[in-house]
Amino acid sequence: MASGVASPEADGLAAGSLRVVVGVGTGGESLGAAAQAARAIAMGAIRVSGVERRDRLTAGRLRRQYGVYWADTPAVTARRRHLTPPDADRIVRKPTFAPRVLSMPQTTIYVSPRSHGAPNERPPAVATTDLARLFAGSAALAGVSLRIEAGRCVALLGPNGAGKTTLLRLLATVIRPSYGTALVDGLDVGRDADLVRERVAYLSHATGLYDDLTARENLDFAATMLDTPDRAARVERALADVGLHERAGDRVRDFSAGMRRRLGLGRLLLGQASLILLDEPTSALDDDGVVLVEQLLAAWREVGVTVLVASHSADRLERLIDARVVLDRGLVASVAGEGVTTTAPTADPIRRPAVATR
Amino acid sequence: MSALRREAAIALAIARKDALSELRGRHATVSTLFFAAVVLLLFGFALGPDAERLAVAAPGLLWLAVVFAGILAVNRLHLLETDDGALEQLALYPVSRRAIYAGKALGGLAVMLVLGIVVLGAVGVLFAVDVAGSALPLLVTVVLGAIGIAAVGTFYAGVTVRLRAREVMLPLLMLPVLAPLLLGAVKATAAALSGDPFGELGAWLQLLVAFDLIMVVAGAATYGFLLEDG
Repeated sequence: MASGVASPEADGLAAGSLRVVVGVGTGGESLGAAAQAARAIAMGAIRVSGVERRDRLTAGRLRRQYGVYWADTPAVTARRRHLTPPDADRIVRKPTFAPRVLSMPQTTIYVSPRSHGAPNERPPAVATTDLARLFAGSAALAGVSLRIEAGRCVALLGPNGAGKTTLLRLLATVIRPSYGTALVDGLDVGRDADLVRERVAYLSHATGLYDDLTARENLDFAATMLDTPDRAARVERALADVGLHERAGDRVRDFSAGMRRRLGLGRLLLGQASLILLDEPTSALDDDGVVLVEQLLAAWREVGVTVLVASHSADRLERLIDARVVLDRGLVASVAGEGVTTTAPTADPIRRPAVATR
Repeated sequence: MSALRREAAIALAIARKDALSELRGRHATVSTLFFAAVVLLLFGFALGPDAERLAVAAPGLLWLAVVFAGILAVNRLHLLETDDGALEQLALYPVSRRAIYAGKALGGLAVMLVLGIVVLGAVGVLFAVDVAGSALPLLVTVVLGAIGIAAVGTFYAGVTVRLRAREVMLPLLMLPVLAPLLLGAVKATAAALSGDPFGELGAWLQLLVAFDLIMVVAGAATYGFLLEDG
């Protein structure tokens, strides 16, 4: 059966959208045509209105390669742009590279299909244009234009009030931009917030844990929310990875700040994010905890996950960082390293006409 | 897993998490039950020892106690989410906002059901009304009332959870909206306790069902906006 990309008009879809049809059969040309469309979707060049499945094997291959998902029936695909959530398609086990931490014999990173592929086939992990966020009329971010290539580990530096946390919260969809745009994997954090949340994991100053639940119950709840496959085993693995296996049955209320931080890091291991945002990840951690963060950063970088780390100082994490972005009073003061570029803001956000993206 | 089953699983996980927290911390149940008992006793003192007058006032007192204590309960359940940024984390999960609302409302419903049944029993004892004689219609009324209070309370607790003056704002917002429910529940309870001589119980229960449906649908449709922090 012929396959490939049908015209949107022929399928009655909205203009500017395409339907990807993966055909039955094994012909290289049909796979090529559908793969071309899938690549365009993955690059963010087109918006998917529906991906119709005809051949599970071929569709599965596309999904693994490009992170393209599909719904079960054409009727469903006609209604839904947001398709089925990801499964654990690929598991990559990384050997120990910091054997000092005995409680963590290996770090297990479950890789998102979106984290795979050559860097030039993936859209930038982060692309902001004149991004600004005002709080009570004053700009916490005052026009940040930043492009971070996929798979990089980037330190976000600057003094208190520079806008580091605000930038992370905008990318995580916690807050919306006042002006400008922010794209994660080519998806707008305002318009496509639901899709962005599937791609982003965020550890903020607060760990977001429930005091009256045990460590295991907290991670199990997070795994349910993240639709983590093989949930029980993954939770146990994450507890072991962050060195809390022996305290798994204890209530979080009794945990120290450092242990809560470790548990928050463990939650990051349950998802399949392609962009991980860490706000002062080493705060409250002891030396072993800092080594744990180093291990995680290295493992994420190894498998192509993009990591953005906000910190006052990147000294401890220096060897793992590809680039540094220094913020000052809501603007990019300097950029150094590979995979990150910036441009000057085009206007003062406070004087700009009110054309907010929200 | 179909989208609906996934949403149901998420809602149940949130309700289970709230139930576990409540069982261990007893944030909502103990304080609200105690508050409801105090409200009933104070109303009883205010109305005096006339048994006939107390029996006539019993349906109103029952639902005032349930509504006042229910407001406390839903507020307490939402406060669980404010500890250490839990609400923000909940909003960051890639899950349907409708499912989050359903989960929080289910947790609230469980507390409201316990509250309603205990207060119903307390009214029977304190005001000497025959609750056991019309147990089924009374239970149906309590269940419908509990659903309505949980649906409205979950929504408005979401509105006020980030406010400093949430303890003041929540009743101010909830009580006017709950007025139809209060009316329907009091009338249905009075009809049930009196043996429904005028055959009006069904109409009041229908009002409660309609109220619950509207509030559940409206809450599920709009709760997602409340999770966004500006």
